[in-house]
Amino acid sequence: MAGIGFALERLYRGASLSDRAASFAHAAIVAAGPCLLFVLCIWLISASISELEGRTTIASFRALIIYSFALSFVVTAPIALVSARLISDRLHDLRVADIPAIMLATFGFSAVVIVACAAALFGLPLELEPAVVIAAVANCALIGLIWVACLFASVTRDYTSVTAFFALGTVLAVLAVTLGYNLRPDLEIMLWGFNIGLAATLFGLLTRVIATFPFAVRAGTTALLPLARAAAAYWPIALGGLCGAIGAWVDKWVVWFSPYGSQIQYGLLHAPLYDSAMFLSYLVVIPAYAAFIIHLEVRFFRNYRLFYSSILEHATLAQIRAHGARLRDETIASLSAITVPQLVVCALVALSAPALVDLLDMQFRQVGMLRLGVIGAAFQFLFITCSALTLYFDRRAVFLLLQLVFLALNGGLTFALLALGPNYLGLGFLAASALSALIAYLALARTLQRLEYLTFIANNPAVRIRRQAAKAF
Amino acid sequence: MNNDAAAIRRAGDASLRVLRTAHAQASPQASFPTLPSAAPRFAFRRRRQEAQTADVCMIVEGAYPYVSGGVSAWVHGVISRQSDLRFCVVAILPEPPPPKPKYDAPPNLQALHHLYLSEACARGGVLRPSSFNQTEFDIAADAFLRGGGLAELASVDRLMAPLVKARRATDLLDSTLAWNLVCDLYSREMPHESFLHFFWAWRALFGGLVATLAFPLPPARVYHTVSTGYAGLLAARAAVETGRPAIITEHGVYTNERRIEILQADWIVDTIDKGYAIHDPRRDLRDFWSTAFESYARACYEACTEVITLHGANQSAQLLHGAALERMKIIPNGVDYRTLSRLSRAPTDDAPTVALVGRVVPIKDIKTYIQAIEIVRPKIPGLTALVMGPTDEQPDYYEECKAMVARLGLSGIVRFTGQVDIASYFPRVHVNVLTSVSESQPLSVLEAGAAAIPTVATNVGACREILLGRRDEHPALGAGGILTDVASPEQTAAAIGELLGDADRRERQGRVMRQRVERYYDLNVVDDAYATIYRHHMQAPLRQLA
Repeated sequence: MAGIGFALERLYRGASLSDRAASFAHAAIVAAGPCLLFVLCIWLISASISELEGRTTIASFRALIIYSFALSFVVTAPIALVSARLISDRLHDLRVADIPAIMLATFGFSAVVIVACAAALFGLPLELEPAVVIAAVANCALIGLIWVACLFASVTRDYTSVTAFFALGTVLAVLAVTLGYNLRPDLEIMLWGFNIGLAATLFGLLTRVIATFPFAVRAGTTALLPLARAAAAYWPIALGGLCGAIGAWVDKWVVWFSPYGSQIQYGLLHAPLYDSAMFLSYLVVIPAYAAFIIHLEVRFFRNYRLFYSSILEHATLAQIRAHGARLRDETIASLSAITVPQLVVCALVALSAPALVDLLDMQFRQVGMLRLGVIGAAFQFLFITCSALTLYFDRRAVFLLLQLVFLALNGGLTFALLALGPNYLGLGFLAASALSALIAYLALARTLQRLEYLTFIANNPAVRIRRQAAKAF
Repeated sequence: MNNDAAAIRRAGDASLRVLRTAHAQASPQASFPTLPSAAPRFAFRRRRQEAQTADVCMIVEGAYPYVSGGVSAWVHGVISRQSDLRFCVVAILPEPPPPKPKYDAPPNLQALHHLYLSEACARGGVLRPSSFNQTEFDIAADAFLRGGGLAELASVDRLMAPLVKARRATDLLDSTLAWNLVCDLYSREMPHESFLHFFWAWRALFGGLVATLAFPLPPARVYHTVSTGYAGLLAARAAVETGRPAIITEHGVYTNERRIEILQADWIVDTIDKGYAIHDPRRDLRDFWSTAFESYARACYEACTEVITLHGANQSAQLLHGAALERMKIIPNGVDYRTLSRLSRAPTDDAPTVALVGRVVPIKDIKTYIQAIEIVRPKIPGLTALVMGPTDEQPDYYEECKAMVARLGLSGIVRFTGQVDIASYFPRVHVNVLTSVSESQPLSVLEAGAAAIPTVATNVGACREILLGRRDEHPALGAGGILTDVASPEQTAAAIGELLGDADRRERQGRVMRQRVERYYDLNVVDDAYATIYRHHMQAPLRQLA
């Protein structure tokens, strides 16, 4: 992500206010990407199709898309994290020519896994028609591959193209779904229409990636073994990614299966009041993610590189400690500078939730969920950024533990607090996010406090290898 | 971070090279009674296997049984010929696994232990003992590494004992305790240095020190080390802990060799420009390394009841590093005079043949030999030049030598025989050549001398003493060869030409060498000396040192 962040920071530092606005807009696209695409599409589609005629179909369409998002996110998160780590290693070793093969292997492996999982989900427990199953599987695969493509696209630093392809995809999706529905008002047409938009976005992103790494792929299978080895070597990262992705959705699944969920048709479950309140909450926090990409990640990465390069350039201990202190202080300061205002914004949104609900034509019952959701989303942002930053220091076990904690808390507390009634839906998510954010922040702070010790001894792979050799022998 | 750490790791590997003495992979040999590593979990098995205390524990660093020739051959010979004594060997290596041995195990070798210097202590204990005093240990370790001796070593050993007993010795390398230690030491010693280099230097040195002090000592009645350095450190520790005598036989001067290596190390970044100042109190990383090795040497000399060396040139260095004059002794290398003296001499009218007996490694400077052959070839028709020694120790260097032979058009003249039985070749050799840049007391010159073959040798180590005679040689026998400067192919070629062109001189000098070897370097004389020393010290009572 830091790759595109540097380009956005340069834009941010442009002279005019519009440059700054543009940088935030682009960062929002990079951060939220497919989610924004989905939300905009659904909103536009819902607005363009009459309520009476298409309510059930649209609800099923929306539910299927949500299922696709959830499944694709969960499946691709571990693959993408491992692949990102492998590509990072290759970039550092200047083995740039290996990257296309790795990307191809990642895409291929992701597609296979997603299709298999989607076929199992849409084909077995749900009562969908085969044609709809195929469309839904394709939909899930396209979304999953877009998640992966977003990761590679962030290396290209070409934010204009990324934004343009998402905009193109959104427009095409809305047009195709609306026109298709008018021709034949069924799920299959709607899904394929949405797929057209997704495909346009995906292939657009792929063209940028291929243009950035125009190296021939001699044999696509050559990267499968390195990918498998990376998965074995970095299994805490993969498992952490999986747990984190599940953790992000588990509260919704708990509510879907609770008395507050409902069945639409074909066995599709959803909790529309809770889901839309939560998705809106996530949108409110997008500026924080955008700021993270533009400022925190970039500045953090600069200080991080400074710290490590000072070591390799034979700095004294005093100099190394000074760089470490700067990395510590600026990271905490940046994190605070983003989180505090975002919390204030979320608090304001929470206070004005009734007006917002009215404005967006939502239900009054959603006011409480929205309030709890926006505050919870702000804490979730803190949790995600702190746990992501621990990965920069290769604290794999810490990262995994944090994701497991969030998963357990989000699922457990959401389930436990169901008994409080529908007005408190979202309280479990808030409590889980707040607790997890606190733990993640403390973990990050402790990592930053012990940075030099971790670098040279506790987390030094060179020392680890010798220690393992001693144990083995 | 993983990638930056890879770069940090490379610095550490370079640091570890300073600790390596030459050892190479070998073809499989017969079994040694090898015991597993020094890891504590094998202690029980070791106690079961060692039914008896050894008479002599030989402590060898980076040599026997994994390197052929030189010190290894000497150790193997001593063990084999003192056949009524029970030996064990502690082989000190940089890191596991051990290579394949180059020698068959003598019947009286009870056990072969391995001490790995690169942090091979696995953590076994759960808690660090509260009896371990970090502050005191920090002060004691600093005092020892900054030029201490036996008393300081004993202090470090005593303070470290609770950690060793609790199987937490690795805390001194892999914990916040270790981090505090290295930061404190760095701040006191050289706060201006590259911390990265200091860290790895400290880790290599301290890791070796910790490994040596945590190593389970095999029980023996006498501990005999063949160098200072870590082998000497272990011998000193054994003397302190067990009260048994320790003796040292130095072949080369370990501290000098390490000092040269450290001075030449291109991976050490110099952050202090001392210019031409002789007395600059500031210490840099090279000083840190050198001083540490000098401390090890001092502790070893102070602990050993006998400080033996092969020749007089080494004794000044020993005195400089704290050896007591009254304990010092010269016992040279010995060769099998009886067998070698019976070999026939190369007939004068045979094709002129010269030979260099030695490993094909840079320290033997084979390239100077090859260049000398190229210079002398036009004057000596039919010349054959043999290189008799293993070629697998440094394959790159061997390939360079072969390429040089081909480039100089010497392919029909210079022949690499590999490791051979010199007794089968000596009857055809007219002149022995040695072009080493560094030697102690080269066995090859003595063996050639026993076979009445004169030698052209560089003036290194004990070569002057061997070829021209010791100061106490009465009556003086005269010259047994010609000395040259190091890396001087012209001088070497001229000397070879002189000897090959003068059969009488060759015959005369060969006779001188044979007499000299019989008088001073006969294996029987050497064996008797060591037999006496061992028996004397095996019966010695326990003594308390430091």
